[in-house]
Amino acid sequence: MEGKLICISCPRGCELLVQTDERTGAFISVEGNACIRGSLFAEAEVNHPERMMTSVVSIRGAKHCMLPVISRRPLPKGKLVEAVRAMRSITVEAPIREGDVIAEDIVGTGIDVVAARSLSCRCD
Amino acid sequence: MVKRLNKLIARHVDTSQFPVKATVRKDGVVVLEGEVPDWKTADELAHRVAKSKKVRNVINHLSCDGKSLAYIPKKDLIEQGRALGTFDEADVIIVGAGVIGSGIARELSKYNLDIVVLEKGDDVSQGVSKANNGMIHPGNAVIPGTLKAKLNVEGNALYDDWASDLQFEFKRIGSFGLSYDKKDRYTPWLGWIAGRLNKVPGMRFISPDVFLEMEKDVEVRPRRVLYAPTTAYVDGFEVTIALAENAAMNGVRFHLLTEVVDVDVEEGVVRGVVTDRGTVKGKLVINAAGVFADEIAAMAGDQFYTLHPRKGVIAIFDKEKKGPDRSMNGRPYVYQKNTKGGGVQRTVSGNPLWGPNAVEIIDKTDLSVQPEDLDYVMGSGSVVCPGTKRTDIIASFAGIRPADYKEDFIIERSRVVKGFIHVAGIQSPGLAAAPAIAKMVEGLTADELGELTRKDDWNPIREKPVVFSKLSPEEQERLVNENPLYGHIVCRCETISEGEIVDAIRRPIPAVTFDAIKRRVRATAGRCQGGFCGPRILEIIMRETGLRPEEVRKQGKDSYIVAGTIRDRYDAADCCETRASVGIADGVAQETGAHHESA
Amino acid sequence: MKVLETDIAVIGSGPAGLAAALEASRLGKRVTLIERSDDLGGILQQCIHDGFGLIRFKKQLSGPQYAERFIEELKASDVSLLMDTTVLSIENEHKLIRAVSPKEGVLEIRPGAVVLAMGCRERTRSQVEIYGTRPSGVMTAGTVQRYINLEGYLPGRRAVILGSGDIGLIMARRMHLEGIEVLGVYELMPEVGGLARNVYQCLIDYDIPLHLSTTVKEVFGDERLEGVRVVKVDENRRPIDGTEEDIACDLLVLSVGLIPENELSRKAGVLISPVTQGPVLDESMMTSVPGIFAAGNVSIVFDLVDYVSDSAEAAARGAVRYLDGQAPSAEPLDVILGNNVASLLPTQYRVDYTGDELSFYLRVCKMESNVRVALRQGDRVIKSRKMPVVRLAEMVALTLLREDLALIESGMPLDIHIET
Repeated sequence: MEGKLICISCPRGCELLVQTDERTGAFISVEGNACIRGSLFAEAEVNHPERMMTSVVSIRGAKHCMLPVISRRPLPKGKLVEAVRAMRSITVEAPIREGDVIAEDIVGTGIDVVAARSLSCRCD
Repeated sequence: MVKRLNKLIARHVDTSQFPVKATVRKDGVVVLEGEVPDWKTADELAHRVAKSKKVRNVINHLSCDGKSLAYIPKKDLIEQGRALGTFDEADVIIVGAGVIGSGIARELSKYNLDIVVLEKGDDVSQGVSKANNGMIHPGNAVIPGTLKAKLNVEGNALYDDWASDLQFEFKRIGSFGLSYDKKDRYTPWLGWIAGRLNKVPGMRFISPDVFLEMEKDVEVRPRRVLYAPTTAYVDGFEVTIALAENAAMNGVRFHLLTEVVDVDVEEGVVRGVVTDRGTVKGKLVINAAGVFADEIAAMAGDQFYTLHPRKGVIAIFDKEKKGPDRSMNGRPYVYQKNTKGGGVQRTVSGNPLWGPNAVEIIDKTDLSVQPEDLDYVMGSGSVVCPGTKRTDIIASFAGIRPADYKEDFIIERSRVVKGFIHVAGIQSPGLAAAPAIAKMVEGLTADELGELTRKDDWNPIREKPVVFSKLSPEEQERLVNENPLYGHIVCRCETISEGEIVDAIRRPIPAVTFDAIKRRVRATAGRCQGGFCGPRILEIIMRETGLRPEEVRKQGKDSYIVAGTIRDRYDAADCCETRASVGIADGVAQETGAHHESA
Repeated sequence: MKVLETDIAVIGSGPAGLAAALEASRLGKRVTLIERSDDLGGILQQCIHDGFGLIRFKKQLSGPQYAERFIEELKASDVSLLMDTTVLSIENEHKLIRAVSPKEGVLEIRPGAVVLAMGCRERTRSQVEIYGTRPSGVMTAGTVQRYINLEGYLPGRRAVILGSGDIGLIMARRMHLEGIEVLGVYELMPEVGGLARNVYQCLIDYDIPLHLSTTVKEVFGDERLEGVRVVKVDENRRPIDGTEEDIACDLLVLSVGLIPENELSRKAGVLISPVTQGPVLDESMMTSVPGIFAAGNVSIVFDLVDYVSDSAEAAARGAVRYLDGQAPSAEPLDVILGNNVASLLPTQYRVDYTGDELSFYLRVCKMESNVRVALRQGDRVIKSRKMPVVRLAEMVALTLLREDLALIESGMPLDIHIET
């Protein structure tokens, strides 16, 4: 079976033509990619699509009240909405360093969510 | 007379299809009823009837597509207000905090009178006073012999006193009546004749070269130029705010978000009013309710006029755009019936202003801007400023003129109710006439209440708020040292500091909505239209008033800026460091808090 | 009034300001970085999505992470920071900067050179034709982004997005993930304004409809927004009667384009280019006022932050050469916009430019496939580059090395165009 995808690995956005197995839906081959990342993306997108998760959590005692966070690795796409929802109940205390783990093993994916920036204590 | 009127009706509508009826009341007021095919017909007919001999005024109950201008009592709000009981009591109740209501309040605050002003908007200057071109007309465009003409010329002359006492921006730089070709050759002459009859001072014809010298951005050379040097320019909001603040300083109580829904009259004597927040007792009601004044009159049982809303759209341009400084009127393009129509001028803050146009509408609350409105405004403006594009407009908005069918001011004591003064039909040049109207109502108030005694401690001066960007570096330095909030620039388009915004929130009439702050300090009025400073202003309003995020409004009860929060927010209160100045203006919190609850 | 002397004053600490300050500092100059807010990083701090820095760091970072790399380096550098400090004016003859801050009061900064790095601003409702009322609930995508990501507010519950620029697409996904119902993205043009990958991962992933050749014509609501009227448009972008549709919503998000921030540039008296809408710049990123340079989105609106940083470093090098008396002084050659070139940076070149390389950045008027981007001088091709496709949303960079630059002669204008 043939399908079209857009590669999200870089801003170029190559249009990918993907061949998949009629029966299992599994990835067979890809055309239209300008680089190796495109074929890696296509295979992942067909077999187990994943996305980075970025969101914010509450922070106490910093000059801002929101702390941006990011998953260390891409999450299975199907878990994304649930993962963002899980961010709603998290509150951290300043100071925070970029890369500090904010939530471990988010929604059972085995992937940690980390702070995307440093935020010092407001009093510093 | 009925016969004559019926003939008139037949000339306007096919009465076999649209049975329109005219009733003549004992007092000479004609009531029109029935269905008309379109609103233009109703408008023309009512104007024509109003011109007929012996007609005192016209009440228009004609309907069109199920809509009409007839007063319908808001029964649920009346019931609600009565149930809430009395929340204030005064000698004088002024309905409406526009330039007229606020002007009267300030004039009467000289006397030992207890005065309240009731305003249904969440700020003063919310209706007619909000959207006009800020021109203080000289008085040469009004029909001689009318009350309008008299008060326009008198009011214009009184503005110097108002401007020096109340310290609002005021530029008396004149205006022009122009003719370009044969078609409009009479226009300056009409202004000349009306001006002479109305005793407009200083008017003169000047040479087109002198004109072009005065207005360097104008390229098209006119044939004849009438110059009226007494024309001045203000910001209608600023005048109203200054008046209200000075009135408040002198003891007048302003209740915002308070809509008058009924007038209590017992045995022909006014006892007070009913509002959606409870009742207010009082001896004298002054009806300065702008476009709704006919409805307030109906509540008092003395409606003898209908106010028909006439919408006008104004376009504002970036300060850097070219354009004349003074108003230029008289091109055939802009000639409109019943209004001087819009020209091209500049606001006191320096933005070119085009318009307004004039469209008769049936809905008094319709402030929408339609493509055809801007077509008109752009068309008339580009005669003088070719090359200006529609996309150069940084803001466009609509205002409503509250016109009666006589097209004159109605300022008089009620002939049927004791304790009620009409101040209605105050359309253009109402802003120019406002000081004279206030004086006239002062006289009528004395007629109603007997001799008025003056306060010893009346203070006519309202000090101008700080405008940081206009100060010298030395003054700026001094100010920031005194209060660091002036060193925090919130609005980058107009260079407005946090200190100025906090001042606006803490002044006698607290500004606690986005639009109220915009009107006072121009934050969000610049090129970014609030994109950058909006979030900052929200924060400041919350901090100063104690409101929750979703309680902060743009303008009007349901005009929330944000709908809530997406996460728990921990900010100012949660930190050991306190900001340069944190404090809640108690009055503000109470006022807005209370009002929100009742809303 | 406090007086500060410095070699180079950089105004703004977004990606451009940070990169410019660091580069100038690396080259041994005393640098003062002036930031109006209490935070470094500018707009990056609210761009919490990933996709930044692929060229520079070979990684897909989120905005704050991209900023953090510069901020860390900045903290270890000698750059002096003036936080919470707003520039009020720049006097162009002596480049005197007047600024104010709550802590320091009014400051006078006397730099040898200035780098303008204030970024860009969003086009607003008044710059697109939308009629109707003026309720709350009509805001730009950047403002919505700030409300959600920095302030933690819910800007509305049912949103319509006008404009398919990248911020609009990114915010469609962001709002959706925060529980806001995103009813659709409407684009006046027949082509999407943002990157294809953002359509894919922001709209298609979440079944958010995209309507091309459709615009918002009117808004309703006296107080809060109650709805919008959308209408299809013909090839001349004029509304097609009878295709109107009313949509109930309480939030209209505008993603209708960006323009360089010019407020200060104008105050400084620099010439503004009608092409980029930013200052007219030469190859060293210098404005028409000697010693005043522009970096990043002040100069032209870039698509990638990596280019913003690159342009800022180029501006810093230009400022350093200027201070060292090595600024090119030849009569500038104009660089003319040729076929399918909508905007271009820089538009002037001096043949005695001594930099090692020079990048031209351009945007096209329309999408085209299998093209060649070429810089010519007369009949001679100075440099060209093949491109499989050029799109509205993507900036094209053409980088000239020293040997390419050597081909440019004085006396004749250059022109850059897209050849099919």
